[in-house]
Amino acid sequence: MRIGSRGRLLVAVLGLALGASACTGTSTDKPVDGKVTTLTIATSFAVKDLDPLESGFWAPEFGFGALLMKPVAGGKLVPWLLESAPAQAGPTTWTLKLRPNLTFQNGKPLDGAALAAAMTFSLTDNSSVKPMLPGATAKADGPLTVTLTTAKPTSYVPSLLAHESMFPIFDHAGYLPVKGKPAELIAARIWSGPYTVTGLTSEAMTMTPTPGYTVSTPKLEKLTVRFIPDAQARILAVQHGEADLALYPPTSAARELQGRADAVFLNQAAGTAAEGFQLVLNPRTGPLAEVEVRRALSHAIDYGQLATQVMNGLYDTSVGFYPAFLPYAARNQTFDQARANTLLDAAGWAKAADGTRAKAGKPLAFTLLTYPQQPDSKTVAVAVQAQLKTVGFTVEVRQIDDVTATVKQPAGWDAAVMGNGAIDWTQTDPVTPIIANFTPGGDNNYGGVDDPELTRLAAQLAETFDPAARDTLMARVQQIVIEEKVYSLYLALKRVPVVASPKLRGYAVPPVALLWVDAY
Amino acid sequence: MRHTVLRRIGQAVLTLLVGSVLVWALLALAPGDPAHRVLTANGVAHPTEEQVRAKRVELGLTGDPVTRYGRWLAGAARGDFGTSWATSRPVADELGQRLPATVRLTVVAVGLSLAAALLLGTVAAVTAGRWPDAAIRLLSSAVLVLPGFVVGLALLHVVVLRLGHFQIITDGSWATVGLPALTLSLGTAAAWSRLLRAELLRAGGAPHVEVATARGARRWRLLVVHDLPGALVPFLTVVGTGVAALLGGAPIVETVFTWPGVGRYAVQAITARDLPVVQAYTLLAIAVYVAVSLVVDLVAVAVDPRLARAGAR
Repeated sequence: MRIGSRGRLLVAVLGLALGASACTGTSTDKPVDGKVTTLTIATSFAVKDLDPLESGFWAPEFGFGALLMKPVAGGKLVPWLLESAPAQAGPTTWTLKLRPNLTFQNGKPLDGAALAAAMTFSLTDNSSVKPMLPGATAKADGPLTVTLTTAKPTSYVPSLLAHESMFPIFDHAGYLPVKGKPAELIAARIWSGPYTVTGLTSEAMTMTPTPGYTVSTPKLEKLTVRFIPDAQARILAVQHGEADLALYPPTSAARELQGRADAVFLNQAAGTAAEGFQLVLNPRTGPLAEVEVRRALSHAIDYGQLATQVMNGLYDTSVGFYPAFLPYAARNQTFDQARANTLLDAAGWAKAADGTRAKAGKPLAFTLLTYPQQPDSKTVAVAVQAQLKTVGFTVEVRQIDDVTATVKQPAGWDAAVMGNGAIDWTQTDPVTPIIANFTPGGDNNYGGVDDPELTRLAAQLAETFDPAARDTLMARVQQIVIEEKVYSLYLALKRVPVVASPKLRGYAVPPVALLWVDAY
Repeated sequence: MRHTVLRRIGQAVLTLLVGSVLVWALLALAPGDPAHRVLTANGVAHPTEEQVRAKRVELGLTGDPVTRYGRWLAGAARGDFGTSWATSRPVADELGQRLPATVRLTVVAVGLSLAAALLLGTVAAVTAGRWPDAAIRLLSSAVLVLPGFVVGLALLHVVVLRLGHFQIITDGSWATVGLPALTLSLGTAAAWSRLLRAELLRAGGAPHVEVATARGARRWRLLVVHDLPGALVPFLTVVGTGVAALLGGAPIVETVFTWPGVGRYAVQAITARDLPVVQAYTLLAIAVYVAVSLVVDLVAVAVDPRLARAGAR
């Protein structure tokens, strides 16, 4: 879930494309010089093969694979390959009904049996799915129907069906004979999306519309994805007309491209950013082990200044654990310098003449880690360092190569600025991030949080289907995480950027990770 | 002569061996468990101990360091550098796929460097002390102090974006090699031309050249028959090591120009901490450097047998 991960790519590309689609209803949703029928995207990550397990997440991102459900703006899901939303036949049983007349790109029918085979493969072989749905099964019980049975009630099943990394839909029978053979995988055309991959090298992937794709009409005649690791080269390629979109532009590109006619820096609308920089804390040792210190720290950070001044408005202000636009988001992360000072005074951290604080001879000091892969992380960290200094914290900012490997260790670090998101890839599942961040064994529980109440709430949330009941539980979770224990904070939320060619200058980058191949 | 050749080959092999130990230590001393990293890189988010153990065996990470080094070296000698942690494909295949593009780039860059160095070095020597000499020296100094990526980006902005020549996205073909090769060659051309000028002037002051001048030999005959052969040995030595250095400098240029060679692949591998690839690339660079140095030394001995005698002493 790091912002620098594939998820951000998705948000950038797919979001942009969605903004390009007529569905957005914006006034800037059409190319300035007419219909766009070919598109070249310059991106930093290479698609190495078309294997569903290893590279399946690229399928919906670049249009060669479709999913059962589709995430759309506003934190909602709509059926994609399914005819309707999954229906709950019981607390642990979900009925999935496919659209009629679906086929894979190789012409074989995508029916109940084929869907069950693909889903069973994910349930047994996909390491992302297994911990989310342990013991679940998928069985075809009709020509177009599959029953998904989970071991216990699981509220986030619909989100999993729309998640790029969970249930890729492909021809399982066609896949087995060509598994591990990249060239044959392309030729086998096992995927289900609107565009079929016709070529894949270490430099580029080319696609053309899938004949007989019945869900919608692919609008592009040719689609090329160029793999260009260097960010500057990607932008130059757009400026020179060799690419239409450059993904992962550095924030500094906004300033560099100002006033230029050959490319434009775009980012998603203000107030819609869902991923950003998380302040990951290690409450096991040092001053941050004191909950009063963590609470003071949360009040000493001016989140508005970080977004609007430090990051020049290219970020949204963080107001709590979740982005403000989500209906259940609590706005409980507040800047209150006086409160921070009061908390530290009360906790016995005395202020010296030079403005620093200490208690029992130990300074109120910690190290804040950043990493070069996200240059903005250092900018944000330096600003936080300055803000915290005003209430008496001494913060050393240190950049390290592999921040994830460091924070996975229980000791040897105090805090880190890390790219992350508090909501899942589909922006419809707030529960799995809680499990990942704040329960023992959670993927992102770097601080080793082991809070019985949080663990119990996370388990309850996973089994709560009623939105009102869920929101009540969520409110309590946010109260614990941000106000009471301060296990983590979000510093600023990045508005996903792209660099576009002049013919795409009118497009608005939409707020949610959607499927850009819907565009045009 | 034979003794000198054998001694030089022995030195080359020893250098390679020392280099291989250092390169192997990259992986051995790297923090973390490589087996765990490979598994997580391949999508196994939480590998079991059993999976990690099996992967350690598969990667040859079991046994004492000497055995592991021996196993790795034997593999490297056969061209087997293990499996990329990022792609799970054999490193040799990944490098092999990209090597032709880098060779193409290096060959063209060497050709351009040589041509420019011979032309500029000779003109500067012939016009020593006059304005062409001063201009060439000024130009070469300016090029030498500029890092390759700055030159590359400047060329991209001016030649491609402003003037509309060449392309930003290159594909490793002869058709798109021009600008990257030009960028790669500028630094070496500048250095080589300055050296050639100095050597030509030094050779021009030799007694036999002065005699030839007194006998009325023409200027160009003096240059071609007397000065150039005298300047050849030191020039060859620098050119040889420069060729190897071009391979080492390719990562920056390949990255700036999106050239799909082993240099850009190495940069990506460093970013992804794909140590088997970094190891293979480093060893390849060392091998090329050692091999080129060896060839240059042997050629120098053939050109000037006095070097063999000097070496024997």
